Amino acid sequence: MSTHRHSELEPIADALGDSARLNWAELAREHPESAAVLERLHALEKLAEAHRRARDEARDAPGSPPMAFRWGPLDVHERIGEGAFGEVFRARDPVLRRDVALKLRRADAAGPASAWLEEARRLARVSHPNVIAVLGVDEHDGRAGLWTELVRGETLEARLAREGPMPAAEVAVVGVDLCRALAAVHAGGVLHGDLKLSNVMREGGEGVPHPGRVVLMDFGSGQDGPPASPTTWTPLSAAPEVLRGGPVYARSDQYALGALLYRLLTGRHPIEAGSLAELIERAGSRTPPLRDLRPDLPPALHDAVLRALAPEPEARHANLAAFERALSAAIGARDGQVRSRHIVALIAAALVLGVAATLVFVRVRPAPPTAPAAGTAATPVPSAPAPTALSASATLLRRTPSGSEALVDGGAVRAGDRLVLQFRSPEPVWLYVFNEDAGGAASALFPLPRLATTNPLAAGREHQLPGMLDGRAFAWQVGEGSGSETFLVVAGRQAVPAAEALAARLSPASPASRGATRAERGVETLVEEPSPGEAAGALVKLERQLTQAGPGVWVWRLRAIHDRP
Amino acid sequence: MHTPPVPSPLESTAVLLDRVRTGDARARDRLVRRYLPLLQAWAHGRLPRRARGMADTADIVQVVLYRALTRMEEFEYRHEGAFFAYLRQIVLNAVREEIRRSVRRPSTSDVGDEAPDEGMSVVEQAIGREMLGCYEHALMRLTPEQREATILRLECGLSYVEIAEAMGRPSANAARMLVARALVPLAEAMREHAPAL
Repeated sequence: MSTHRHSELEPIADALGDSARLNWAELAREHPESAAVLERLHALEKLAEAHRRARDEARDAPGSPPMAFRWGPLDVHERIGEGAFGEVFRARDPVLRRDVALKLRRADAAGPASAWLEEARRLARVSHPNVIAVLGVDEHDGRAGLWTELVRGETLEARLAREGPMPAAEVAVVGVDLCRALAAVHAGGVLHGDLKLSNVMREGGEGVPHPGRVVLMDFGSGQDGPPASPTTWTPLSAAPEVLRGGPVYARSDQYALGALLYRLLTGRHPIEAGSLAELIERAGSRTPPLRDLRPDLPPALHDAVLRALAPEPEARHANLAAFERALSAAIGARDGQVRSRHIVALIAAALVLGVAATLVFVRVRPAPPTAPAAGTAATPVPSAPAPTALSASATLLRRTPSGSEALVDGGAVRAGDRLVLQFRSPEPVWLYVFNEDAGGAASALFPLPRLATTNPLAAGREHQLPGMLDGRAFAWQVGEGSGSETFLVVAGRQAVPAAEALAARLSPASPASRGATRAERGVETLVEEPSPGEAAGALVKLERQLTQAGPGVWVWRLRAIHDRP
Repeated sequence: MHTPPVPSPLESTAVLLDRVRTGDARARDRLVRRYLPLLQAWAHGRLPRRARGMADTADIVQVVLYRALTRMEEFEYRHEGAFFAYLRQIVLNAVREEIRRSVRRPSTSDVGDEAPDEGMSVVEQAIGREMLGCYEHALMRLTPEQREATILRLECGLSYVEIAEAMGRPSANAARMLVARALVPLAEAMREHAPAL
């Protein structure tokens, strides 16, 4: 094959590697001289799809992998962790058919099992997307245990060891999440007591429900309010008052959060010392040298972190909400901009890309609706949730003039990027896509009343959203902005009332959203402009509501960081 | 003062293999944890339905993986990240042997009652035996790095970030380019091996 023809087909291979849906019949018509090679590329797509199906089957197969032993209601599989308190296992709830993490207390662990169980019950009162969800507490076969959601991914400690200090905006985003998580913990009457990088996970990996979610994991002292023993804290993260053995406050957790963010920014502890006595002396009198280590930090972020690390509790942020606001403001102010309008617009990709990008459009264009629309609309929907968890897969793709790539959590977006969501579920679903910026301005990205693509989405085929109108594929376009953009994707076997309500509130047609349709350089553009703060925290609230929604609802979240071109 | 480097939780396979060669049991455990679930899921797609019980798959893959890691002298890797392709080939041979044995094994039911596709794997059903054979031949025409990356992406569904980590590539984009540039030559080689469609 000639080099020219080779290079013609590479973008198609690129899209195939990205798992983009390709219209093979149309591609064969456009490249008749390469029909045989295209047929093999199509076979490769089928091969990848078959392997994906086999993986799904293997994951759901009963008895997979072999069970090690049974504890109460759970089938216990391999050990995944160990600590002074006991062991952590991956286990499976055979009734709900979901994997969980089971912590079993050592029979010879210090203290009565009843106290340990009581602490676990207190933790179970806390419900927040950024706090690990305790699913059950019990005692069987002489061993006390609690089971939680199983979070797959890596700890922030592992992330730091692998990639070194984080970009400023990413640290601020983690800080905002952890402020919210700690506030929820405190509202439950519990102090965390051992906040550190190894106790915070970032969810990731194939098929996880909320890639990129920051999750507060192990609780150290887990004290039911003050006082707490300093022996349960990690000294290099502990506030001076904890090190001195004095009273412990919610602001002691705030200090530990400041120390965590400081490490993410610099790779170092804020105060380092050769002995505990030296550490106590230094922590009570020194300001950590943050500016010297990260001269690139926005002043607002620098000040927000150092204030949390103030030696005296009363000099720290008044509360976690204030700390969160300071971090959010630091992100928003990074580019010297104040967000005045929302940044996501909907643009007809075909028109915007123009002639030079024809090939790009061809390879990203979704297959025509081979399944009749009437069949889609008539898809029967169960009247009650089935006992098995709804499964789905979603990929947010960023289209650039040079190609497309799957957006990973924490990845960068720039003004002008076009985004599409590839979504597939083995069942017909109602799908909702929302977006929220760092300032809390939210908008509904799907469904949109003006598009032909609408709910419910048909089962078993890949949908490319936001969808189609008059035969043209649409994309969301990223506008000017700073800080982070959170995308929340919700799927349900039936319409999800909480998501419907939020979508209605944020819809461009709703008076609440102040949306506007206008013509811009000849391209019809739909711009949503909710006023800043109008729906602040709307996605977090929705996600919190959905934690109790049961197996018929599937939620996926991804956060992207604005990057200047 | 010299400070030892912090061990990365995501060391590349080549680094772990070097440590396995020196008898490092923890490195071996890490490789097992990395590759066992991957290989088990992969083999699930290549075993015929009637031989695809999880116990069968798990047994075959575990035996192959542990045997491979205790006989490292048989694996001469010249390129970073050819290890999965090596393991996959051994598992593939074991799967073929399993298929042969399952054919020889007396069936308790009337063969005529058996569904016609019970002897085929999920992947064979999807693209046909001949096409799968062409694919396997064509894979050998790729460079070891291209082969490894293609297998990890298409057959194992790893993200580009995961492929970069496993293969010691500098970025997800580098892994993505590796895959994208392998697929057209792979399809061309498949055409050369295949009978006319």
